[in-house]
Formats: sequence, C-alpha cells, structure tokens
Amino acid sequence: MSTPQRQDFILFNDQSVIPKELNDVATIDSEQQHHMFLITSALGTQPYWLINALVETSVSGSPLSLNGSSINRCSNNDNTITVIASFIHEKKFYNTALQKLKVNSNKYQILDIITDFVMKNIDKPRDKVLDMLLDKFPKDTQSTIILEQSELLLALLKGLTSDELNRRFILPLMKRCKLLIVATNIDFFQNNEDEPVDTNNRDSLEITRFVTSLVYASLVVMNLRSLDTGRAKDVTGSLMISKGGQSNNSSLSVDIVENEYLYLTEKESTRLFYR
Amino acid sequence: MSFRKRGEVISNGRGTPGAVPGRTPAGIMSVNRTLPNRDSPMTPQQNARGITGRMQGLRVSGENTRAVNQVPIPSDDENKDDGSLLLDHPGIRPSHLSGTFVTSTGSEDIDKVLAHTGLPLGSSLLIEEQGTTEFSSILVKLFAAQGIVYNRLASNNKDNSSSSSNTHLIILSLNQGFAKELPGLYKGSKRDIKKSKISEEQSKLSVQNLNEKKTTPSRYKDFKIAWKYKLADEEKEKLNAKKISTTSAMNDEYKDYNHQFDITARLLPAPTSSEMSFIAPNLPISTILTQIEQIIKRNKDKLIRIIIPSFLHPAMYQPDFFSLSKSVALIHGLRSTVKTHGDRCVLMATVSTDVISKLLRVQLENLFDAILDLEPFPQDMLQFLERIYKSQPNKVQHGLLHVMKLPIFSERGEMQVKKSEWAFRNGRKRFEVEEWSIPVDDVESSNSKPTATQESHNDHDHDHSYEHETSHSKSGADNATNPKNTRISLDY
Repeated sequence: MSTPQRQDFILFNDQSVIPKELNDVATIDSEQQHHMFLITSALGTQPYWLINALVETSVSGSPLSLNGSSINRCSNNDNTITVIASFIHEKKFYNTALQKLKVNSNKYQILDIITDFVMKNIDKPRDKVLDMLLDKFPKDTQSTIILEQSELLLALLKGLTSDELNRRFILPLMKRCKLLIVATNIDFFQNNEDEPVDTNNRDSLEITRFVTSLVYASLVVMNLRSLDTGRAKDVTGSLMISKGGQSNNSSLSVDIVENEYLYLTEKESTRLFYR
Repeated sequence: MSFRKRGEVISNGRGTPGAVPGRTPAGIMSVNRTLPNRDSPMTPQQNARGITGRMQGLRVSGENTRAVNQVPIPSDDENKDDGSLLLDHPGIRPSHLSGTFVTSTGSEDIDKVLAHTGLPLGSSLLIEEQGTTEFSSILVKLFAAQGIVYNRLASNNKDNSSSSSNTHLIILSLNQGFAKELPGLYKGSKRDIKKSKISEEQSKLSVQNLNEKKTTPSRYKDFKIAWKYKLADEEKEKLNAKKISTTSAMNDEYKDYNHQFDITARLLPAPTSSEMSFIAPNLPISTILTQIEQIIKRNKDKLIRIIIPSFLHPAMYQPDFFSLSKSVALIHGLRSTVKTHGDRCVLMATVSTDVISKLLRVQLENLFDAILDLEPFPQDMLQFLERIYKSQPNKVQHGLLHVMKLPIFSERGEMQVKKSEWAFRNGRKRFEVEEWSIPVDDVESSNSKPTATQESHNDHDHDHSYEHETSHSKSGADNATNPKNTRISLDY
C-alpha cells in the first residue's frame, strides 16, 4: 500500500495557520481585536503535538514540525512572546518538547501553574485565586497565550461557575493578548450511549456551559477525535477544523478553511493527510 | 603522558573491578547506566554530580593534571543524593522504548501491558474495575508487596550499602490491616522446591560433586580425537557461553526487578511503619498533601510508591468526595506531588467505576498518566469458558483488560485506547494478561461425542436445544458468525 500524501496544516485561506493580518490588526486599529482559537480533544487524542505546532507557528511563523520547510513562512514581530500555561502538565513537559523542536527559547515562556496549586489555593477565595492566576501572565497585548485545560478550575475551585470563570479569567486573559488558544478536554461529551449526560448535576451543567461558551467565543475550533471504528495502526485520529462562533464577527479579511485531516502520531512526529 | 590505550576500561580508582558494564554493587555510585535518548529524570545537578563521581576515578596525566588536581574533589558522601542512589535501586530500570526509568507494578504481565516494562517514574496509574469483583485489589497488593520486597533486598544487602532501605510506601487508606494482607513471595511448586534443594546439595563442595563437574564428552574417553576437532568443540563452547552470557546479562542485571507472588501466602514479617506510612483519606485535602510531602522529604534517597486502594470506596470516603471539587482536587494535588518528585515517585490507585458518575470518572481519568480498565466476565461467559476449556481449567480467563491510556505515549498524542485486546486471569501465583481471542467451540467434536454433550447438560441447567443458535453479544456488537464447522458463541 502506498503511503498517503502528506498535507500541510492550514487554518486560513491565505495558506497560513496564524495569518499575518491577525498580527497587524492590533497596530492598525485603535481598538484592538482579541481572538481565540479552541482545541478540543479526548482521551485517546491528546493535543500535545498540535499545541507544539501552534507554538512553533506563533514563534517562527509556520508549524515546521508538521509542514516541514514551508514556503509560506512569515516572520513574526521580534517583540512578541508566546506564553504556555497548563493545568495538567508540568513546566518540564513542554520545555522538553519545545527544546526538541528547536523552538527559540527566548520567544516563549512556560508558566508553572500546576505545582502545588491545590496546596496553595484550596482554602482561598475564588476571586483571589483567579486574580493571582491572571497576574502570572505578562501584560503584553501582542503576545499569544496558550492555556491548557482551564476547565479544571471549575473542579478545583469550589463553587466556581462557568460565567464567573469566563468573566474573571478567560475574558480578561483574552484582553491581555492578541491571540488566546484554549485547549480543552471534551471526553465528557463523547460516547454517551451507555450513560447520558446528567443535566441536573450542577458540575456537568457548568462544564457544558463553559465548553459551549468557548466554542461561541472562538474564531476557529480544532477538534481532535479518534476514529469511530476504534484504533488503527496507520491513523491516530482526525483533526476537524471548523468555524467558531466569532468567525462572522471578525474583522479579518481571510477566511477559515473548514477541513478535516486524518493524522498519524508516532515516534514524536505527526503527519497530516486526507482520507 | 599516559600509556593507557584509548579503548581500555578505566577502573574506578579503588582497585575494584567497578567498571563492569551494568549494575554496580550497592553503595558504589553507578555512572555506567546512562542511557541514550533518556528524558533525563534526574536534575542537571544530579547529572553533574554523577560526572564528578566518574571523573574521580579517572587517571589524568600530563600538564593538565595539576589543574585537575587543584579542583577539590567532593567525597562520596557529598555525591549522594536522591537520583544517584536510585540508580542502584533494584526496582528501577530503563524503559526499552523510551529510555525513561521505570519501576515494576509487581505483576510482570501488567508491566508488559504498560509497554515500558513498568510504570515510568513520575507517572500515575489508575486501575478501574467494573462490577462487584475485587481483581484490582490483587493488583494494588502486588504493587505494595513489590515495594516492600525492594526495601528488604536493600536491608539484606546492608553490609554493602550505606542505607538499609531504598523504598517507602504511602498508603492512603483507613484499612491499617492492608499491611498484613500483602502476598508473600512465591517459592515455587513442591517439585521446584525439591529441585532447588538438590541443586543446593550439588553446589556444595564434595568429592563426588567435583568429579561430576569435570565430565568431558564421552568420545574423548573412547578414542584419541584429532586435535582439530577438539579445538572446534572448544570454540563452540565459547560461542555458546558468549550467547548465554549476553542474553542472561540483561536478565541478571535486573534480576531483582520483578518478583512472583503467591496470593495465598502472606508477606512475613508484615511491613512496619518504617516501610509503609498510612494516611487517612478523611483528613482535609491540604493535610493529606502536606503529610505526603513531609513523608517524601523525610524519606529522601528512596523510591516512593503512593498507593490509593479502593479510591472513593463509600465505606472510607465521605459523600462530599463524590463531588468534583474534592476528589479532583486531591488527585490534582497528588499529580503535582508525583511530578515534582518525578525522579523517585509513582502513584497507583484503584477505583470501582460503578460507584462514580461518568463526569467524575472522566475528570479522574484525565488526571492519570496510565489507565487500565478491568471488565470481569459475567457469569454466563465464565460458564461458557469453563465448558470450552474443560480439560484445561487453567486457561479460563476471568475478564477483559482495556487499555485506556499508556504512560508517555498517550501524552504525546498517540492513540492508545485498546479495548478488548487483552484478557486477564488471576491465579494463585500470577496475575496473567494475555491477548484475547474469541474461544471457538467445535460443533463437530461435540456432536461426535454425545457423552460429553450429555455431561455438559448435567453441568449446566440451561436449555441446550437453543445453544447452537444463541449468541451472547454485548453493546450492540455484531452477532457471532457461524462457519461450517465452528461456532463462535460469544462476541466481545
């Protein structure tokens, strides 16, 4: 069997992942627009490689690990910085990965927000914890922030609601940067044949509301999911790119290319291809 | 000017053959076990210290010698820290897939299923179990017993090692009797015990044994063999010896990595508080986490195995633990602790999926690095398997083992959800995991043996008139196919 042709990862119709225009908007408009990309993933399709690719794009203009030496490479502003913050992975996890990809370490910053988070904040008021978290992020409106599994805050901070999390953390964070990329786990919404979602449960209601609000607030939604037929040796899963709720309100002249790739992740490298 | 050859192995400067590749004796800092492509679990400082220790053994000649000599060489005691001591730990070995250091779960087959020959240090493993069976409790006891055995190995080697223990267990449970329930080491069958006694006798120095050892091929005695043939024989022997030594070298190097346990025996003497610490789960989460942190700090230089047997068992955990805010906070805090001490800490938990909601289950699964799900067979399936394997009752599996997450690989984004690929069988001396294949019932053979059919009628009180048509299927799976001569009765 011949190997399928490798495809380039693109999100916009100018063949880019983060369009150059998105960087320039801030300098042209007096009222800066802030954008959000959303990555949704599940148990068998973790978004590690996609986050790395987006960091690469943010730092060097193109996802080199996915697309190879792309022609459509636009160099980013030297002053911008990419910030990665994860509620599930430690600092070393992304540090090792990005070092392996040889991403310029001066252009990204990894925040350690997982270590002793519970020990330090378990009895503190929610507002205080969210403010403290917010203060950890740099106040650079040209920066890109990648936030992994922020929905865990709904479980970690007792009584926190989806609206509160959005109002006190996600929206202020979005205003601090030009692009906020949120990765979230949607395992809860999948395979509900055996046990449907209990909508009377407060926790499940808040998580559902939060994920839905992210979809509405985002420009692009990248959904990673495993094949319906189960595990395959030559396919890890599918990456579906679709428009988010804000795609029509955006001032960008470029359009989102809705697409579905299959991808194969093995030995720390990922390849995209079509069906 | 040194006359030492370039390829020559440099001794450790103590006049002992410490440069033998592989494990060095306990107490002597090993530096040979550096691995290619390892996601260094040690901190850079630990690595640097390791190099210093190695440099200590180097004999450097020439003009640079003076400069090197002027550098104060730290003593052995200064070199000792968490990572370096763990290099000599019998329960730690490199993963053959990723190069990270792993430790055994106490079950060789589970180690294989985890793909790294163990659980990587700094990782957490969740064993889920469906139904009302308690297979996961066996696994958690094996995990604990293995840690105690590591510790006792160090105590036995007390003369060689500076510290008398190398492993500490932290149990998050109210059941203090857990320590007394751990399985003992499997000593072999009666025949094995007899054999080992005989070999022991033979290994003793006696005139008869020495005579037997010096046996030569009979043809040497029969006639004068040409010297060339004799040389060929000797070369063959050498080659065989080499082959055996290379294969056994790996096994010998990690011979204390895995142990076989007998679940009907008990680990004696029972573990003491110096080997195992209990923390009650009904304490506030911050107290639990602080206590664990203190125990880890108190037991520096030791492998820490944190165990949560029967997590969220209603008898042990208060109702508020079944809300997200408490259980997720606890596991998130533990995850952070395990990652912080990633070079010497592992976590294993078991949970019954029947007592928790889907939301809680998904959130807990999200926080673990590896997840195995045990699905015991229902009664009718077990009866079917017993009938199929009537002549080989040892072959009857007890359930399916689903792999939901594998350490390292799943994090990287690889799809490692393997449902119904493995089956498990719990025996007295081993928790076996093997590839699951649908058992085939040969219709012809059963037809040709009416007596056997009759027997099965007597054994089982269900209606056999429909037996050939019925097929048990689960979760809407396709019905079993009926080829000409064979019948697949169950489809999982």
